[in-house]
Amino acid sequence: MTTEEFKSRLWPYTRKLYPMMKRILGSEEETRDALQELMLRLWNRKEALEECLNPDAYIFTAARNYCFDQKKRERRSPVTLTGEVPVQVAGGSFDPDAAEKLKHVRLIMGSLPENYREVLEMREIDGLSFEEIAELTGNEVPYIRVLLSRSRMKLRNELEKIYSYERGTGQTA
Amino acid sequence: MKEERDRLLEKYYRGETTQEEERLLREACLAEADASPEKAFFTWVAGESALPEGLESAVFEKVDASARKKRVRVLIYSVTSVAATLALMITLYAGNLARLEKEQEFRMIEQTLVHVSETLQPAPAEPDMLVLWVDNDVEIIVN
Repeated sequence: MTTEEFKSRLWPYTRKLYPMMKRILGSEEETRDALQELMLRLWNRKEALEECLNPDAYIFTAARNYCFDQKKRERRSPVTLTGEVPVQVAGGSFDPDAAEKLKHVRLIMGSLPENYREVLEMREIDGLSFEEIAELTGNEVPYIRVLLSRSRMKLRNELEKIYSYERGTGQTA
Repeated sequence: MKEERDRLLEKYYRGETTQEEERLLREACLAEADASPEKAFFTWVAGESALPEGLESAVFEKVDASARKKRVRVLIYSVTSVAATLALMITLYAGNLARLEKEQEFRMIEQTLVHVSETLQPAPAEPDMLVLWVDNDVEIIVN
């Protein structure tokens, strides 16, 4: 396998791995470094990767394990979604109303039970299939569908409550 | 359009949508002018899943460096092998040449010595012989 073949094969994974690894590691710089290191490890084990029957699970598991090992080594406290993280608004200009809405989503995401949040993030942000989520979480696909359904509804209901409150207090949602 | 969006939303909240349907739903919700929980959530998702600029080249930097290093290593090994082979061949050739030269020198010295020896001590002359009788059966010679 040449480097170009390796890159074209692994790049689609990288698009999914980046958000997932960033959630674990916290910073963009650390995520970039971790991805570089992970790709190097996979490159060094490219023969095993070619022979692997389930490369998706192999790659995602390797990425998660690497990130958790990294966190353990650094002995840092995990980044929580409820923390004050600067909100980026699409288009580059700062819209306080949009930023407020994103902050609500972030807070609600942070308040979801861990298994709800994990499945929701994997599906919505990382773009993983049900089978890939099943591989990573060890749950069956029907159960994942249930978790996803519940987490989506919970999120919507919580957001609705905020919007109703804002409408009730005269603020435009 | 709205019916399709509502139908997809129902499926979405039941956890039954495919990834393609979810993509269509995201596009539809984000294009809406009015605020909605879905629009807020999908806006947040878009921000969270956005990749930084130049990620592709950065991510494979170490892979490229490793492959480059390996190529250089292979090149060094090849050049070293060729150089070693050449050096060995030259050494063998030079050794052989020296051996041939020595043999040639030895032969010349030997010939010179034979010549000197013959000059100093000529070979004894053949003794005169007197042939008295020769036929098919008998030879009579007197030294």
